[in-house]
Amino acid sequence: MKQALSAFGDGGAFSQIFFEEAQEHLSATEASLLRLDPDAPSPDELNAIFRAVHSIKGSAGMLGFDEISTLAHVFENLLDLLRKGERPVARADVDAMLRAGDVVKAQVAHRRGDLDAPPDGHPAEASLRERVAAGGPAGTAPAQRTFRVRMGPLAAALDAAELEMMLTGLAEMGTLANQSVENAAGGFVAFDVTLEGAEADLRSVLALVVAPELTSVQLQPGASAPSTSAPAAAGCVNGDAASALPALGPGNELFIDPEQFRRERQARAAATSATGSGKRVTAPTPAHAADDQKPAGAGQHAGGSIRVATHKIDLLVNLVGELVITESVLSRQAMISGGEAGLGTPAGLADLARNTRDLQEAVLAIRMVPISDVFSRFPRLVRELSSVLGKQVQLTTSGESTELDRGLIEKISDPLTHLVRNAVDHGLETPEARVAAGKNPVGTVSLAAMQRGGKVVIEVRDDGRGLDRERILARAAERGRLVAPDAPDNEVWQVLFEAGFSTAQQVTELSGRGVGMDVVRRNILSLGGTVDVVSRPGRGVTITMTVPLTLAIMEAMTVSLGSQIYVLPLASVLESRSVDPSELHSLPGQGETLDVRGAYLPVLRLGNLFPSSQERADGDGIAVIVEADGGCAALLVDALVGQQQVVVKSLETNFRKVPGATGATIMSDGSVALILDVSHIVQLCRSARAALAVN
Amino acid sequence: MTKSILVVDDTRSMRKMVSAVLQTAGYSVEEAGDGVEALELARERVFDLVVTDQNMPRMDGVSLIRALRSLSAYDPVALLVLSTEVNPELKQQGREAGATGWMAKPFDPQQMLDIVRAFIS
Repeated sequence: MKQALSAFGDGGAFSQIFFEEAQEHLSATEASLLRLDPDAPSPDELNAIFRAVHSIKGSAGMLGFDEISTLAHVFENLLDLLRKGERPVARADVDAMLRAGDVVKAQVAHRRGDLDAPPDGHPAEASLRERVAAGGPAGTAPAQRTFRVRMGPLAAALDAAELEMMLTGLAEMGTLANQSVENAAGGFVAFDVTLEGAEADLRSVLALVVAPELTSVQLQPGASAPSTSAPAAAGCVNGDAASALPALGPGNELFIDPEQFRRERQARAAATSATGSGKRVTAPTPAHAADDQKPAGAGQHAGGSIRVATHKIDLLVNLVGELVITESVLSRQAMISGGEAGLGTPAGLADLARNTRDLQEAVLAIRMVPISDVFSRFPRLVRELSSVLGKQVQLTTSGESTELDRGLIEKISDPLTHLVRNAVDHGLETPEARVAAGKNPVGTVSLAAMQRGGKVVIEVRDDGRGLDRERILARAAERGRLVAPDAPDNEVWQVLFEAGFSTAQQVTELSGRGVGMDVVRRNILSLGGTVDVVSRPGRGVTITMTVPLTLAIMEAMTVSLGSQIYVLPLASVLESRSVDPSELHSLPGQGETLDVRGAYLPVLRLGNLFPSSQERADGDGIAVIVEADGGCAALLVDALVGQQQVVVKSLETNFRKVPGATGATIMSDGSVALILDVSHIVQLCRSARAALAVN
Repeated sequence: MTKSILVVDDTRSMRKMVSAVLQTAGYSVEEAGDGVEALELARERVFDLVVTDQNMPRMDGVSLIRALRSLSAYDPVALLVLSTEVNPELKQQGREAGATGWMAKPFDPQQMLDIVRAFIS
C-alpha cells in the first residue's frame, strides 16, 4: 500500500474529494440508521448503508488512511451480516454503528486537519466486533472466544508485579496460552487468551498495564464468531496468465491470458469488419455518433448538481445586490430627468427593473437550502435525550423541504436545538406520569416548517404537560418581576424569555440552567423574526418561530432625521404615531418617557444616537415604537418616509462597524442609509434607566 | 490512436483515482457512476477496455459485465473488475459473466497499468 500512499495520499485533490464524499456518506448513514426499525429493517436501507461504508473503506485504503479503512472494514462486516439477514437487528447494533459512524467522522476530520488529535478507533471497533460476534438481539452471552494479544514494542520494561497481576487476572477470566514475555524496552508481551468476556473488557484490562495504541487484539478464527481479519486471498493467478504477467499483486487475477486474448480479439475484429457491421453497438441516431464525446460531467450522478464554494455564491448575491441598487438609482434619475423633459421614463428601463428583480430572486434561490439540513440532526438528539432521561419520545417532522437562506439556517439551528431539548426535557412527562394522566406513554415532539409569504414559520410542538402558569408566576415574583395574577397567558409566557429564568425543579445536565429561552428569543429577533408560545395545560406546548426567508433583503420602514434617512426593520416596529410634546414626561429615575395608553415607554431621540445628523429644530415629530429583547422603546424621529424592501449591506466589510447600526443600505437616490440596531436602542434605554435609578 | 477506457465506480474519489492513473498513462478515460450509466455510455460507443467496481447501486459490476457481453460489439473488449471483494465465489461469478480479470482494491497504480497494458497496448 506504500505505492498507493505516494500516488494519492499526499493531501491532494483526491483527498479533498474523499473528505466531501465521506461526509455525505456518513450523514446519510446516520440518517438511515436512525430511520432503521430494528424489528423490520428495510433491506434497501441496510444495503445503502453497506454501500456507503464500503465506499469509504475502499477510498480510505487507496489514500493510505488506514485507521479509517480498518474501522470501516469492521463496520462493513457487521452490516454485511445484518443485510444478509443472518440474525435480527438489535438496538445495540444500531448503537454500535452510530458510535462507529461518529468515530469515522472524527477520523475524517482529523485527516482533513480540522481535528488535532487522532480519535481512538479501538473502542468503536471493539464494540462493532462484539456485535458481529453477538448471536442475537437479546445480547446472548458470547461463547468462548480466543484472542491473540500482542503488546509492544514496550517503551520501557513494565512493572513486573503489575504484569504478573494482569496475567493472573486474565488467567482467572479465562485460559492463557502461547505466552511469550520479553519484558524489556523494545520487547513484546504476547499470548492467546480464551474467555467469555467482551473484547472491550479484555482491552480495558490490558490498558491497565500497556497503552492501548501499543496493543493489538485479534479474534482468532475457529471461535464462534466469524473471522474479522482482513481478507487473506493471496493472488491466485491463473497458470497461463501468470507467465505473461509476473507481478500481478495480491488479489489480482486474470481469467484469460492477455496474449491469447489479443489473438482472439484480432480474429474477431477481422470477422466483424468483414460483415460490415462496423463499430456501432446499436444502430445509433446521428446525434449519437460513435466519437461523440460526452461532456466531462458525464460521470456525475443524475439530478445534475454541481458543488460550488459558498463564497462564490455570496459574491454573486452581493454583486446582484449592487446591480439592484444601481438599477433603482438609474430608474429614479430617469424618472426625474424624464419628468423634467416631459418624456416619461425610457421603455427599456421597466424591463431592466423587472429583469433585475428576477435575477435577484434567482440568485437568492441558489443560496436557499432545505430546512431538512437542520431537522436531520434532531432524530439523533432526541434519541440520545430520551435514553438519558428515560422518556419515550417519538419525533415527527414535516415540511422538511421548506427552503431558507443558508445564512439563516445556521442561525436558527441553535435556537431550534434548544427548543427541541426543552420539549423533551421539560415538556414531556415520564412514561409513568403519562400513563397516569391517561396518555400514550410515548410522547411526541413534532417539528414543522412552512413558508408563509416572505416568511418561514417553524413550529416545535410537544404533547407534554404544558406550561405551569402558577409556577411561572411564583418564579417571576421570586425574581422580583411583577406580573398581574390575572394577566393573560401571553403576558405570563413572556417571562420565560427573560434572562436567568427557569422553573425546572431540578437543573438537569441538558437544559434548565436558566440560560436558553432568552438566547432563543434574542437570536430570532436579531434575524428580524418573532417567537410565540401557546400552551394547553396537560396537552402540550407549541412554540412558533417566524423568520424571514433571507437576510439579504429586508422589509423596512424608512424614517428621516434632518436630511438623513434611517432604516428600521419592519419586524421590530410596533407602531408609529405623531407625538405632542405634552405626552412626553420626565419621570424621576426614569428619564424621558412617552405615555402610550398608560404605559410609560423610555424615549430615545435618534439625534442623540447619531449626533452628527442635523435635527430639525422642532425635533419631536414622530415616535416609532420599537420592540426588541422583550422590551419596548419610543424612538423620536422627524418624519416617516415610507416602507420598502432594502438590500442589506454589511458595514463591517464595506466600511467599519458603526455602533447602533446592524448594516446599511443604498437608497434609490444613491445615498447610504444606516439600518438601525433596534436591540441596541432598547439596551441603551434600559441602561440609561438603570443609571438614573442608581443615582 | 489513443485507447479509450470506461471507468465505472459509484465512489467519486475512487473513480477519480482510477481515471488519473489511466490518464497519466495516456489513455482517454470516461467515467460512469454505476452499471446503468456505464451501459448507456457503452451503447453509444465501444471502449477499448472497461474497469468496473463490483458493489454499486442500481447495477453491480458482474451484472454490467454480463450485459456488456450480450452486446456483440463488446465481444472482443477486455472487461476488468476492480473491487475490495476478493472472495473466490464472487470472482467465479465474474469469470462466468465474462470478466477478463479481477483486480483488488486498494490497487497499486503500477500493477493496474501493467494489467491494462497487457490487454490494450
